[in-house]
Amino acid sequence: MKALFLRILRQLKNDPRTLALMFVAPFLIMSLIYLLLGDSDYRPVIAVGEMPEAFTEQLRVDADVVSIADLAQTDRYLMADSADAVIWQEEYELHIRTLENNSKSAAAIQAVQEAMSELLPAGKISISTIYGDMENTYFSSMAYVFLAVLAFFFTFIVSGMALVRERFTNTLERLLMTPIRRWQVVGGYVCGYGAVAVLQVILIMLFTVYVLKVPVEGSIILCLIVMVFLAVCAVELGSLISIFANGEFQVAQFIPVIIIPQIFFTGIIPLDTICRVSGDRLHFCVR
Amino acid sequence: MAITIAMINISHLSKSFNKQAVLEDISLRIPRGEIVCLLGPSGSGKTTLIRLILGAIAPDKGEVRIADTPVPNRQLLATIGFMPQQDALYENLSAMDNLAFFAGLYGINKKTFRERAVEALRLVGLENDQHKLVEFFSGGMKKRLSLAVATLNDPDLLLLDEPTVGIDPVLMRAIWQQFAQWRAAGKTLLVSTHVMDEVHECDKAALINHGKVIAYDAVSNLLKHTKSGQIEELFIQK
Repeated sequence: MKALFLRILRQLKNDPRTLALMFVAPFLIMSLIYLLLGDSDYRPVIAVGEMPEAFTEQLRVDADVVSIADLAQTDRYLMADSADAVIWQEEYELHIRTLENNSKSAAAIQAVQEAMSELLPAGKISISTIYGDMENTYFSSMAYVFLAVLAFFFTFIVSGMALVRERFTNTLERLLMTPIRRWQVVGGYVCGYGAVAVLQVILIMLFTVYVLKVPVEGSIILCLIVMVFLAVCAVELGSLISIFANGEFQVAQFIPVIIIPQIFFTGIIPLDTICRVSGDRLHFCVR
Repeated sequence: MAITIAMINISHLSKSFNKQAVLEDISLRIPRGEIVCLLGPSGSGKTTLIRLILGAIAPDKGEVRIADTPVPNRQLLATIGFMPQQDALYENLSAMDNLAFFAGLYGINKKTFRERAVEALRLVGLENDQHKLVEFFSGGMKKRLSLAVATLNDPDLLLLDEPTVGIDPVLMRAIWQQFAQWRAAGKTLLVSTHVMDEVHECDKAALINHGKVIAYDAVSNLLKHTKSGQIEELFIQK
């Protein structure tokens, strides 16, 4: 088992393409997602109905403020992309309306909330959108979803392909024709690729938390443990799929079957919205 | 009596793939300390026979015993050196790392491994390429490294599937001389080949054609049945 473990590490050392897939690609993708979804210096445009002058002044710190004369035109105004958000006051409540939930409206809402907390911390804010609802889907909440998907995906591909190659170069038969036990082969594989995957997971976690500065609400340790289990699962699923693949590139054909459902269940789509019985069951599995 | 126990005893072995018979009712007794060659054209079932002897695949009928132990048997594999027809090496490892991996599977300790690896690489003439990655090896070099792997565990029995294909004549001589030395040390060698000339290097030969053993005897006896001294004749007669 140790021999297998060491061999896998040595093979990876001599295989820069696979190493890059495991250690460069996730960082690249994570950074891209960060750039696309993350905070930027974007100054939102906020259209203001009748609001106290002090509030508008405070709002100008983080946003460009324009005024809207006719609040009945709010939706048309937003659809024309003339502003990222329209705010008005109604029955002691501050209303924010945006086109949809995207990074521009998020910036607008954040600006309003900051102005609000400066002037009237106890004030009530009601947010509505024309399209979609206000689940938080910015990078900070998406980051861990992508983290898991990336770690799972790359480990799955690399370990699945390695086993297929092992079968097709006949090395699998040769190594089984030594006194090694079957479980030692499986164990060696899980340890070898598992170790690399764990290293990958730790590095991406550190990168996400300390370089991309994603806020952490829960426990990093727990998150790491979940990721480690995911990596081990990915190695085993990779080995399973290798049985059905006749060639390294056929492993890629299993992506729709293995990877895409995993992505659906990551939490990108809230699971409590699906039909009750299966929903509860899934919740039980996922939580 | 130990001396009467054959190294390999194959009785009534049959194997078919997809209802196509590959081997039919094979019975062979391979004595200890001899070089026996499996001679036959490609596709005659030599590789299947070797895989059955190893226990890599299960026979449909019949039985294989190695040193009176029925295969498959895990402990038995520790005493067998196997060289498959394909090279079965790791392309992105160096020659030395390939050897180290297989030595690890046999549980050979570091010190013994050092000695054996040097010895095995010297035998196949790869001392100077030991740190090169296998992907940069030529076909012949891979073949030689594969042979080196088969000898790592100092086996009593060597099952070599076409070991000399793609090896130049000078090295081929050296390898056959090594085989003779191993025989002198009491090892048993079962070598498959489709090169008829190699039969002269062996003690016994089993001629296989279309999944059947058409002749099995000492090479000198087999040659007596031919007019020209060419073993090919025996295939054509049948």
